[in-house]
Amino acid sequence: MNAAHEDLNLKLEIYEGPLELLLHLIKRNEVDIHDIPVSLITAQYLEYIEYIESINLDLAGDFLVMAATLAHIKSKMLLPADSLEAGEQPEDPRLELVRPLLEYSAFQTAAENVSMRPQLNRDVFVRGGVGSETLDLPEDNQPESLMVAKSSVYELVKAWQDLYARRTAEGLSLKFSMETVTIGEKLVQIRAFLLSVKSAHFRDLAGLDKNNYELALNFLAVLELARTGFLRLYQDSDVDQSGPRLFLADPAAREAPEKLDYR
Amino acid sequence: MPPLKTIVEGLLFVSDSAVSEETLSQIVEEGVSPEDVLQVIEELNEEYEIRNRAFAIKRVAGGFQLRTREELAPYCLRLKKNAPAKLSKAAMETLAVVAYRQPVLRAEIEKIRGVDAGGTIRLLLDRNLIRISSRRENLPGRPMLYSTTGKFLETFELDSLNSLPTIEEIGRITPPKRLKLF
Repeated sequence: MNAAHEDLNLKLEIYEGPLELLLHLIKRNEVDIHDIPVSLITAQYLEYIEYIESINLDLAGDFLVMAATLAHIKSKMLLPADSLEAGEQPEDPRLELVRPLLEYSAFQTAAENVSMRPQLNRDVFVRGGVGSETLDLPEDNQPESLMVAKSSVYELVKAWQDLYARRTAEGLSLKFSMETVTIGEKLVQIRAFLLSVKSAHFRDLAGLDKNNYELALNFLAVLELARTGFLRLYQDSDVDQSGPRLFLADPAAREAPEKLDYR
Repeated sequence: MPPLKTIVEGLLFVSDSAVSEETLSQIVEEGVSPEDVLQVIEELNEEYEIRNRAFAIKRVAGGFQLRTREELAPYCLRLKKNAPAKLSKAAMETLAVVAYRQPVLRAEIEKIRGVDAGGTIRLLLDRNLIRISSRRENLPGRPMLYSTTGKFLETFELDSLNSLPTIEEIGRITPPKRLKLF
């Protein structure tokens, strides 16, 4: 019964890619990676592919490419080598397989090595929570408590995508409108909004737009305002929250909010 | 002035991120060298060890940081409740390729692993373990290049990328099993 159980487990193993499967077969058969018995490995490889297809799992095309490569190597080994100069050694056709396998195998081990290291917040812990930073903001606009994380453009793009996805999920509305909002009007609108609330989440801006076009304009306006130093963007260290936060940055900018014209 | 050992311990206690011995020595006072700091850090670690303290000073990301002993993990996890989800084998492999081959193209990662890497790259970007470091300007479409982040070093308690054994070393350490003939 135990043996049957093992067999089941073995068969349920899913290999992500052809190299992983091949390495597994080489290890299981305890054969030398530099001297792969191509017939045996090919047979077992095809057996696995047939099995996966039999249980109706989608098979990545890469698996089939590798199957073709294996068949090709097998046939090359059976055929006599092409005309060679006297004394020249024919190249082992298996080399094209061995090189990537050895490389992948090394990276597999490297990944295991890294996984075995003590992992922060899993095996080892530091005092308190995430690192915090003081914000580079005017004193009257410092949030009482805020954890800020180092951030990148990537997070900004992600916040935009989230906002857009939420919008699309709420139902696509196809509207024909003669109203044309300009980015200049958006700039003024966001300035006014931010002057009244001083700091806001990226997501709060969703209330200021009527359609996807305006949402895009909003985003551009935020970038423009950040560029001109009117607002600053910060990312809460709690990344899953509501995207970057917008802060009013320059007190001087508040005095003359209408100077720019983007029409 | 309190003893250097006490000051260094205090600074490490307060700091949110790893601090280098240079920074520590500059903070303390003139006449204190980074070597002096290293010396007291070693002494502190010995004391912690002898007295069975909960933490030790570890070298990570180019500096020093107080970190709990690994034996305490189960208790700390109960307090924290939200341990980061374990990274899958696929994600760890992608991370390893980025760590060793950086800056690296997605296509290069996929060539080594033999499978699509889009999903794992996105996950690692989300977890802030890798970042888009630049673009390959001389290729069509200027594809993005990926590198590991400081958080990668902090997460896996690495001082620098050089703390990892080279991939060539790894290739040699794990020789393929010899063929059993009979």
